[in-house]
Formats: sequence, C-alpha cells, structure tokens
Amino acid sequence: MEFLDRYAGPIGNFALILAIVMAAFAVITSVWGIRQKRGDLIRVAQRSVYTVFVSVVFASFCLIYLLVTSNMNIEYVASYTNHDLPYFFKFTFWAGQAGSLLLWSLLLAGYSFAVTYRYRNTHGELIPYVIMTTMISQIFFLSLNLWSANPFSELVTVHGDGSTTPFFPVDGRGLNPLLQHPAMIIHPPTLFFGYVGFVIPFAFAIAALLSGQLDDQWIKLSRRWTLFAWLFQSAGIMMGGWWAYEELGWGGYWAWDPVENASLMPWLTGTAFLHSVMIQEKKNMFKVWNVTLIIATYLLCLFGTFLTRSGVVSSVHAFAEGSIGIFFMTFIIITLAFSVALVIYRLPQLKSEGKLDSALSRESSFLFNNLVLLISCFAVLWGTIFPVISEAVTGEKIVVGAPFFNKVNVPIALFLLFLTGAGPLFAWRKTSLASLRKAFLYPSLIALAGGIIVFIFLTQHLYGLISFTLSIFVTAVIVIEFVKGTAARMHSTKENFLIALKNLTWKNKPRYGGYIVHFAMVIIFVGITGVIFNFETKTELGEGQSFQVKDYTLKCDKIGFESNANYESSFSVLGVYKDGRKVHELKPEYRMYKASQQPTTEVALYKTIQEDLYVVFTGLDQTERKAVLQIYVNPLVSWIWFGTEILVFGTIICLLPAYTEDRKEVKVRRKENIGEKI
Amino acid sequence: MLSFIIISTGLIALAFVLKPLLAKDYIAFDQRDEKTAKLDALISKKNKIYMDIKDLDFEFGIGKMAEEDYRSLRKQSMAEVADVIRQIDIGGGESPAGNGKITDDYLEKLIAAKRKIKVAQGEIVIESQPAILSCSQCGRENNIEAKFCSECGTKLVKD
Repeated sequence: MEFLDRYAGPIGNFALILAIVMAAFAVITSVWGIRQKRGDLIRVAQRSVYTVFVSVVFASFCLIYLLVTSNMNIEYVASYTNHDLPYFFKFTFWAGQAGSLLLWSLLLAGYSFAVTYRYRNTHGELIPYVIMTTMISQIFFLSLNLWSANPFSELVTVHGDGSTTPFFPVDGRGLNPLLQHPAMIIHPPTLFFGYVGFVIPFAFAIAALLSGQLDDQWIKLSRRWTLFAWLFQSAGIMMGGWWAYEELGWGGYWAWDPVENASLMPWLTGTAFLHSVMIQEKKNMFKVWNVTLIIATYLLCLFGTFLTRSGVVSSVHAFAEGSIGIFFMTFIIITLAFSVALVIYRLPQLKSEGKLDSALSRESSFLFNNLVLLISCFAVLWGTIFPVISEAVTGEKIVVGAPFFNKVNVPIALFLLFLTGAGPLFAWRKTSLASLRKAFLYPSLIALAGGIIVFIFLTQHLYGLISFTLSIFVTAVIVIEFVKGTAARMHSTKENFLIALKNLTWKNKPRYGGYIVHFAMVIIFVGITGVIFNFETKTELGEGQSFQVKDYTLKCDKIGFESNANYESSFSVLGVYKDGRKVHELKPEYRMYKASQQPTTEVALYKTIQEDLYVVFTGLDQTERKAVLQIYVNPLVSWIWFGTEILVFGTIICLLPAYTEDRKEVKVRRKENIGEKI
Repeated sequence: MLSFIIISTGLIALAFVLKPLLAKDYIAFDQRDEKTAKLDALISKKNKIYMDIKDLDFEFGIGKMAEEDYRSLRKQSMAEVADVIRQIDIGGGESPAGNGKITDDYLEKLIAAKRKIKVAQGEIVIESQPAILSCSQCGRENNIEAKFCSECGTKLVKD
C-alpha cells in the first residue's frame, strides 16, 4: 500500500505512455497488414488494441485510487477534491479537464476493444481500417492526457538552487458545488458514451471509403453501434437538462448554453443519419449523403468536446478551461480535410444505384426530415459560434441569447413534429394522392377535434396550440399504425390482440421501435410546451407565515441552520397545502461549501404529473429572520423525464438483433465458393 | 522497484502483442475478395427486394397503398428479384438481363456453375478417357460405345 501511495501517479502515467505506444503500433500494423494481406500483422494490431484498453483502464484505476486516498501531492486531486468530500464524488474522476479527457480516452479504448474483439475473425476488408481510425483518435486524446492535461502531474516545491521536492497541500480546493449532484455521476459518462460512440460508425465510414467497399456493408455493421451511441447521446442530453433543472436553480432545464448546443448538434445530425441510412439499406441511394452525415456527426462530437474543454465560449459548463483549444482545433481541421478529400476521391464510386420511385413516398419524406434536421443543426451551430466569430472579426463579443434560438428553432421543431406524424403515412416507394388522403383523414380529424378542445379549455398561445394539436396528430398516427398492423396480423394469423401486437413489434423491431421513439418525442414535446404556462413569483417568509401560489399554500414551519464537514447551510421547511390538505413538505437550502468557498442553492421540488412546484431558497433576511424564496410553478415538466424513459425503451427495441436471412446465406455461399477454389 | 515493474510490464505487453508474428500457422484473416464481395452484394440486394415486397404486401394490406400502384410495383420487384437470384445462381457472373425471363445464355452459365461446384465437391467424376472413338480409316468421331464407324462402316477398335 505504501508503495502504491507513493507510485500510483508515475505508474498511471506509465500506463498512458504504454497505451499511446500501443495505439501507434496498432495504426502501423493494421495498415501494413491490410496492404500486405498479412493476417499475422492484423493479429498484432488487434492485440495492440486490447493492450491499449487494458492500459487505459489501469490508468483510470490509478487516478481513482489517488482520488479516493486523497493524495494531495497530485495536482488534479488537490484541484478537484478535498479530504471531506463524500467518497461518492471522489470516484467521479471526470470533474476536471484532465480527468474528463481521460474518460474520453477510456471510453474510446473501450469501444475500440469491443469492435476489434467482436469482429476479430471477420470482415478483414474493413476492420483493420476501423482499428486505424479509432486508434488515431486514441493517440490524439492520449497525447492530450500526457502532455497537455496530465491527471498524474505532481505538485513540487522549487528551491532556490533549482532542486525540487514534492509538495503536499494541507487540503484540496474541493469539487465545484454545482457538480455535487447525483446527476453529475451519470450525466457526463452517459453523454460521453454518446459522443465517443459516434467514432465507431465514423470509423466504419472511413474504412469503407479507404477500402473501396462502398456497398451497404459498413452501414449494416455499424447500425447498432450508431443506435447505441444515439441512445446514450439522447439520454445524456436529457440528464444534463435534469441536472440543470435541479441544481442550477433558475427554474428551467435548457438555456441554449453553448455546451448544451454542442451536445444537441451531433444529436441532430446523428438522428438524420439514423433515418437516411435506411434509404441506403433499402435502395442503395444517398451514399454520399450518409458518409457526409456521419463525418459531420463525429466532427460535431469533437467540436462539442472542444467547446466544453477549451473555454472559448463562456458557459455554465466552464468547469474546465485550458490551453488545449489549439490542439483540438488542429485535430478537427485535419480530420475534416482528410475526410472530405477521401469522399471526393471516392465520389465516382458513390453513385446511387437506385432511384426514387415517386416524389410522394416514405423515402422522400425521409429526405425532407433530413434537410429539416440539418437546418436546425445549422441554426444552432451558427448561434453558438457567432459570438466567437464576431469577436474575432469586430473585437466585440455579441451574446446570442435564448430568444434567437427559440425564434429559429421552435418553428423548425414544430415542423419536425409534423413530419414525425406525416412520414409514416407515406408508403414506401409510392403513395397515390387518394391513399394519402385516406391515410391523413382520421389522424387529421382527431387532431382537429383535439385542437379545438385545447383552444377552448387550455390555451390560445399560437405555438402552444400548434404543438398540442400536432402532438395529438402524431399520437393518432402512431396508434393507428399499431392498430392497423395488429388487425392485419390478427386477420392472417388468428392471434389475439396482445399476441399479435407483440409479434408485430417483434418481427419488425426497427419500424415499431422507431414508432415508440416517435411517441416518446411527442411526450417530450408536450412537456416542453408546458413552458408557456410557467409561473414565477418571489416572496419572503418568516416562521409561521404562509403564502399562496396558484393552487398551493406554502406554510413556513421552520428556518434553520446545519453544518457538516463539507458545507454549511441555511434552510427553511415549508409545508405544501392543496385544498386545505397537506400534500408535501419542502426543504429548500442555501449552502456554502467550505473547501471551495462557493455558494449553491439546493432546489426543493414537489413533482406531480400536471406540474412541478419549484422552490429556491435564495437567501436569508438576517434582520427579520425571513427566508427569501423564489417560487416557480412549471407545468408538465415531468413529461419530459417520462418521455425520456419511453425513448430509451423504444431505442432498446430497435437495438435488439433483427432476424435477417443475409448472414446465414452469406455463410452458405462462402462455403460453396471455397469449394469452388479447391 | 518502480523501474523493474515498468520494464517488466512493458516487456510482457510487447511479448503479448508480437506473439502472432512467431506463429507460423496463424489463422488466415477473413477478407472478402472481389468475387465474394459481388456475391454478398447480390445476396443483400435480393433480401432487400424481398423486404421491399414484404413491405409492399404489408402496406397494401393495411390500406396505405393504392391497388394499381401495388400491382405494378410488386410485378416490377418480382422481375428484379428473379434476375438477381439468377445472377446468384451462376456465381455472380454478368447480368443475364432476362427481364424476369429465362434465357439460353443463363441456362448454359447455370449448368457450368453448378457443374463446377459439383466437380469441386467430388460429386461428378471427370473421366480421363476421351468420350469418343476415332475411325482409323476416315477419321470420323464415333460414340465410345459404337462397334462400327457410322461413316464408312470400318470396325472400330479400342486402343
């Protein structure tokens, strides 16, 4: 143990060096191996990837060990923890710059390992290039870990004669209090699983371009990896919203902050990609479009990390700033240039083989949805980087605020919502106007009736009205799709309704899983639309006083103080009464963290399916001993989190392996083929 | 102590990674050649069209598609898939552009392809003896079973 306490840092550092050497080795041997068609070299490359993974895992354990044992000699430990920080938060080694880059490296190594191992004996025409691509990224991130943001660097005292001795601060500076929230434990890794995960489809695309194997093989192989990354990206974004909502205490979950935007952009292009690959799988079309989309998605992932980590934009996430911006920018530009050159080089072979049967078809509705997603992504990108560009050009920093993003994106989002409903009404290949009219009839009537009810009883707010009406439309479409499909199945197989419904979904998981995800998006939209009813007020309450907010009466039972090793807090205990009955008790807090000397507010929430009562303790009026409270009533917010759960469920259904004849038949044919060669 | 651990770990890692270079009989790496790639593409194309047909049936079944469109698209897909299947049968050769119909060229190629496979699997034995018997007088090639030349009537003798 004493040995570990002293040397965990250098050993971790060595593990990173070993990893970067092995990653370089993997790049060289994989390319060499495939050029020379030498299986032994490919095997060497595979083993190098395994070694990289083991090394980075080991380095991460070293860092966790240092954090948990509070080894203050390590700069990273002293910067982001203190002795009294709960263990719970010491494990989360991604709080700072160096640690979060190590998390990138770790996940990247994990993904590379998984892909390499999964296809260790197959697809030799693609996988070496996949290894090469992921390992080049790996080298980049490991070199940041080693030379720009090393989590293992030690604090030293420099003496007059130039000699150094290790320096041990008495205590660390502690973890940023905003990060001391359960969501912080899972939000960054989840989102990173998404960000990093897109490297796999990107690597497959590059492999297809490099090897010239441009059929839909790479899309088939990467489909589930893409979905996996997309799942985590979606969940990560939503968890970020959850964290912002419960921790930042301004009453909302999304502020169009640059870093939030950074996570949204690859999600938008990734979503476009998930839809457009279906066209290539079905019709051998949109080949250039698909490789371009996945390249853009990966670059946006890198760009997102760059935004979070470089500090070029001011953000609530400016937790980690540093000098790595220039390295990142260089890497992004090189990747971009290389990918574009590769696409142009292969352009003649990327021609579409199929053609659209008709402009009125599912295919063309997909194309439309792609364009809208891209426009939205571009609007977000523009708003995000505009302040940076304007500062560079005019020297003046112009803030692009939420109003811009809302103004542009709300109509786009509503249009997307409409497409979510309209798309499935088109048949593949060709839809006649008559059948289209028939398909639109019932959902439109239901939506119209719903819209009128919303207009009379709920809201006259234009966007709100449109959003609710479209939500009803999309839900009607999805329900009708399920019912019709089930009915057709019941008719042909004589199964009962539930069995037929289950089998219908099971036999075509991508389609019906996709519908479930669409339904989840509807629920999320409804939750977001609740924002038009938001109510906000401010009050001061002494002990025994009460206050009326909408349907709730808040009664202040107590104002008190607490102190523990980590923080001091003042709080109030509020009874929540509705219709004269006590329904809940809230305890909003104002905390001052000792190590970092930073204050935070701990929001108290009473959640119901209709609305959230959201109370922030903003301060204490010392003279009158009154709690200063900021109170929000946010309708429908729970729907957002509930929608996310449905989204995860639907995506998992899409992720389950689909039954295809392909694999079996290819095997049989290959056997015959080998027989032929004898 | 530290340097010992570092050096030995490095060496172990290197040995692990380089081991495949020593093995002489490493497992051949599965790489698809051009022909297999072509076959793969054909098989995937075939299944794609099957999926198309399935979708067509389904969408027609739930009333999303007009009958006229359904019939013509289905017919078109059936013809397409027939061609693809034939291409697969003859081992991914040139397209027998039969537009859904069977051509002589296709039959010839099919027989050749099937024969090749059967030969490779040892189910067809190619006889080393020539299947013909030449007439010593006029040179006419006769059936191996024949006793007299069908041209000049000379008695045929097996060598």
